[in-house]
Parts: sequence; structure tokens; C-alpha cells
Amino acid sequence: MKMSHRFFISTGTLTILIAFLSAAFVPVTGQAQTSGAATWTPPKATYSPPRTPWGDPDLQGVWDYQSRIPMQRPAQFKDKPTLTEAELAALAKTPPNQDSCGVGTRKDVACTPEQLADIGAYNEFWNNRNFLADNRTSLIVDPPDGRFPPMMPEAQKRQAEIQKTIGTFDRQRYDSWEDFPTVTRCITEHTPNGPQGYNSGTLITQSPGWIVMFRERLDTRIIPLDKRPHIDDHIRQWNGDSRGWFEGNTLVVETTNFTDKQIIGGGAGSTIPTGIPFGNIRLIERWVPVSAKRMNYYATITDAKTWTKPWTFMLPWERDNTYQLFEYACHEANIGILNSLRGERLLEQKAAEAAAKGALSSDQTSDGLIGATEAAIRSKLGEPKAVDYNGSRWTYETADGVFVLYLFFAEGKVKIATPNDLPLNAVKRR
Amino acid sequence: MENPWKFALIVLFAVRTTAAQTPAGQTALGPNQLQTQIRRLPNGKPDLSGIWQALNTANWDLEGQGGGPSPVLELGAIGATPPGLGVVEGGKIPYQEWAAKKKQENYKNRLKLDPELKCHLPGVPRATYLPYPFQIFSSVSQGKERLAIVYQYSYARREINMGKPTEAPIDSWMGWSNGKWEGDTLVIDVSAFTTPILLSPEGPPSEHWLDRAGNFHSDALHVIERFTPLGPNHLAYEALIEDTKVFTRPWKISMPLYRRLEKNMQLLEFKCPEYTEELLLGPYRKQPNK
Repeated sequence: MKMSHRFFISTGTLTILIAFLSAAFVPVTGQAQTSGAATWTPPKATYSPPRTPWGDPDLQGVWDYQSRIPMQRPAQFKDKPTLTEAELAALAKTPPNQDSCGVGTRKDVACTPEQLADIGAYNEFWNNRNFLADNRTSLIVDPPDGRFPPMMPEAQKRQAEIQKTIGTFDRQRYDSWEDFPTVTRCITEHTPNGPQGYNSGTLITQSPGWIVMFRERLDTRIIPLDKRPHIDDHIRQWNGDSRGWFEGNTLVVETTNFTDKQIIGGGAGSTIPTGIPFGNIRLIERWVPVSAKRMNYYATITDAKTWTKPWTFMLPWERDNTYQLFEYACHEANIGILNSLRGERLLEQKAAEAAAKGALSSDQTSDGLIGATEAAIRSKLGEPKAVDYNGSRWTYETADGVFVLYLFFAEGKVKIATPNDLPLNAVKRR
Repeated sequence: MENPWKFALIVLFAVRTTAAQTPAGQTALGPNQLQTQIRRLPNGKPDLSGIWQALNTANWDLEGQGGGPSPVLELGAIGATPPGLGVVEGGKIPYQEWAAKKKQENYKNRLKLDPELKCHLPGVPRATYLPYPFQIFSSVSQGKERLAIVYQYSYARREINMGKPTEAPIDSWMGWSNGKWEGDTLVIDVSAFTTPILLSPEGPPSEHWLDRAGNFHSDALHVIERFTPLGPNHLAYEALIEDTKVFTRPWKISMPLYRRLEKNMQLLEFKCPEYTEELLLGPYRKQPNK
């Protein structure tokens, strides 16, 4: 693409030709370059905010960045960077995410056994949805296909190894707190931060030489604007070390010194996929004012050890003067991790006890109930403690009151049993 | 154009004619020196922006104490209690009878009970004199005065409402802060603290402690903080502490706060929830041999 760039600056005739040849490389949002150069060019501000008494653009107040747009462009939108008005209207009528079934789902909602059995996320009831008008099909604006750039072969290997050693939402393995995303551990969220279901309000306060951002959840980003050098390379932080400056109306922040301890994605607000240590990331963020109410936030991630080229996502931030940030005292009552780990250890203990008595055959555990009819279940376990979701979820409990057994039915037969290794003789008969 | 705010800073240093108020007994500078050396906001009020830290032993014991051994044998002199004169006006905290006994119990059980041990939010005023720096961000812009305080410890921080006083929408660990100026003194009224919370099904509830010696308060705490500049690099800090459930009368602590003058000083992360995971969750980690 370097060559086409050189041609572009020569003659108008060639410009048309090259623009045609390089059509596939023009960023979808149109804010960026028209040169056809492979390097993404940050757009300029189209709004000039009022100034602080010391002359900086005044960005103070509360901003929010709710979005339902995925980071990567889904396959069905392969050549479709933006949606039409009609497509947007249709999308607006559908639930914002697939987990309108899940924890706390209303019992008259029709859900599949898989959805009901998935306890990975809150359902839609818990989410605060204030989506901004945005017709794009991916947050990623560069590469222009809206997808992460290819990973280096070494990084792919490293990612696979990390995924083997840690638990993730998919694996549901909880040996230790280190198997949970750092937001679940009440330590930090990802910087750069992406969309999340709730609590993405961000309070900006400025004073001469400084800008500080209170993300409602956990993190406070303190950014000096005096172009001081970064802290020593050996000092590593979850949110890295940020240095900022204004380029005209745009706030630019460079962040380095991230810690390699940050390796898990998948949590709320996460932007970097699981299995990529943050340590080598150099992050450039740009807050580009486009109106009195809106800044477009661009995050460019460079990590030559992981990706073959830098990539950039854009998330609109909108001013919301009605948003009240609340204290996010997360660690103070983090019984979620405690109970998850306790539960895992109890399950292991039960399994060990059962094994000591001799191995249970699969028809002696809840796994053996898969495929059984309602009548067969009744004859094996007696009446369920509860029947919910139009008969699709049956609840039993163990005699010691420690475990709940859910059986999820589809077409009259058990499709999923959770947990699937519970000895059936532990189930309380009613 | 390079750094337009630098020029503005010079303007902000402008002399103000009225004498700064200082608490009784604190005369670090003469009135004329004080006037010229305090950085001011465009509305004429002192600009308290900067990185500050207490330099005393209040976090070990507000009432003061002689030096003492470490409560953890292995920590030897590293974990020993440093001696200090105390910061309580009159020397003693006026506990109700039951509360004085509870304080003694707290001290005995401090290795289990101190919320700092668990990296719980410190509340106010403890956040001020924890042995970590904190940063004040202060400005007046578009006619609105803004004040935020970020503490290095955990994710402790406060947004101070400098407008019309507002009611807390909900209780919190760091309380609800309404600020105002009395002359050159920033006065912050803090209330609406949480009730103690049960973290672990087996464990005791986490309570609000004022220091590592077991001094404590309840959810009825009401604090009135006063920040008064003594010069460009020093603040006088006072906190009037009221809690009708625990104390017989309001009482006061006071101490100077010092500006951290190191070149390129900045708050670094002290995300201590991470440092408590083994302590709080260790028994529930999968053991390698199991």
C-alpha cells in the first residue's frame, strides 16, 4: 500500500485508479484517510469544546459509552460495515443480547435448556441500556474488515498455552481466584475499556496539568498532561502508565507499562481477547470531540509480539448529566468468588467420597438422567421441589441442603443436568 | 503553542488581599508570605490541587502510643508499631462504656478484624492518614467548582459536591461529601456511611475502624473535615467526629498534610484486593495434591 500512497500524491487521474484498486482498504466509517494508505489516520475533531480557565478543552462531567455493537464484525456482515435505517429499526426490536434468558429470567419467558442452564451472565433485566445512535457492524475501525488483525504464530501458541492453564467463562473451571477475570476479583477492568451491560458512566475532572477519569467500576485513571517521561520500565500496573496531551481539541493519551498479569478477557468491558498478556501493549487513545454531547473514543493497540499490525476500535462517548456515579465497593462484599471456589471444593470432596466408596456408574449420577422422560425422573427421584419455565426446569436438592440439581427438559426429555456428576442417592426424596 | 495552562498557573498564583485563616497554634508563615504563596482558583478560593500525604502514626493509633512489637512474629521490626504522639484533641477518644470495651476487644483481635488487613475501603477520615499519598483535583470551569480526591489505597476516591448540599442517594463506605468554603478553609460534611457487612459466611462482619489499634465508629458517623492551607506545600487538616451510637460527645483530630514534592510525583496503583486473595480465599483454592 505504500506504493499506492506514492501514486496518490502524484496525479488526479491516478488517484481515481488507485482509489478503485484500494477500495477494500478504505476504512468503513469514512472519518479516516482518503489516501488509501495502509496506516490508519485518526480523524480530526469537528467540535471545539469550551476552554478551562487554563486553556485546555473542558471535557469535565459524566460520560457514558453503552453500545450493543460487537468488537469484531460478525460473519454475516462481512462486506457490510454499516446497517441501513430499516436494518437498524429491525435490530432495535430485538433483545440487545442473547442472554434475555439466564440468571433471574422471568418464569414466563420461553428459553432453551442451554440458555436456562447458562449461569455465566446476568439476564437483560440487570442491564442499563442507553445505546447511542451508531449504525456500524463492528467497533473495530482498523483493520477495515472490522476484525482483529492476524496474530503472530508465536502469539497463537502462547495464547493456546495460557488458555490451557487458566479457567475461563467457557471452561467453567475454578481452581483458584486466578481463574476469574480481574473485574470479578474486584481488581481492575481492561484498559482500554469496552462496552458493558451497566456502570460504564465515567466522570472526568480536570485541574491544571492533570485529567482524571473515574470509571464507575473500580478504576481511576490519573493522567498527567506535562509530557513527563513514563515510569521505569520495571514498574508494571494493571492500567499501565498514562501520559496525555491535547492535540487541538483532541485528548491523546499514550499508555505503556501494563502488567503481564492481565491475561483474561471475557469479562464486562474487556477489549483484549483471553490469552494475550498485556505487558507488551502500547496503547494510544484519542478522545475526539464531534459535538457538545459526543466524543468519539479511539483506542489503538500496538503489540508487535501479538499482532501483525496495530488495530483500532472506536466507541462513542456521550455526555450524560443525569448519570449519578455510585461507589463500586466490589471487593468489600465479594462473596461471588468465595462461594464459587467453596462450591467447587465441595463438589470435589463429594466426588472423592463417592470414589472412595467405589466408582459410581453413570446411571448412579445425574449424568445418567440425560434423555430420561418426566415419568422416569419421577420414579427415580420423586416429585421435584419446583417446576419452572413452563415445565422446562425441574429443581431437586440434596438431603444435606448443600446442592441444587436442575434438570432442563426439551421435548419431554432431560437435555441438561446441572451439576452432571451429582450422586443420585444424595438427592432428597419428597 | 506549548502548555497554555502554564501561563494560566502564573495568573492563578496572583495575590489575594484578605488574610488566610489558620487554625489556632498553626503559624507556619506570616500573613504576607501566605497570601503570595497559596495557589488560587479563578474564584479566589485556595487551589488545593496536588498530591498530599500525612506524616504521622495516626493510622497505627489515633491516641498515640509508644513503640511496640509486631503482631506477626515473622515480621520482626518491619511489622513493629512506630511510636507517635497522637492526633486526638485532648488525647483520649470519648467512648461510651460498651464501646471502650469493644475497642479493647478489637485491639486483641486486630489480626482478624482490621478492615485494612482485608483491603476494605477505609472511609473518612481514615483515608486521609493512611500511609499512602492522595491527590486532590480542583478547578472552577464553566461557572462550576469541581473537587475530586483520589487515594492511592485500593480504589478509594471521593467526588466532593461543591454546589448546593445534596442528600446521599444511598449509604457508602466512603460516605457522601458536601463541600463549601469558610474563608480559605475547605469544609466537607461527610455522612451516610454503610452498616457493617458480612463478607464470609463464617467470618465476622467487616466494621469501620479508624486505625490499626481498633478504634472504631458506627454507621451513625458524621464527619466535618476542614482543609486550610498553611502555605504552598502544607495543609492543616481537622476532622470533627460525631457518632451518637459510639461516643459520648463529638471529638476532633488534627494534623498537617504535606505536599509530595518529588519531581514527577504521581500516584501509582495499590490495588490491594489482589494482596488479600490468599488470605481471604486461600482455604478454597484447589490444593495441588487433590
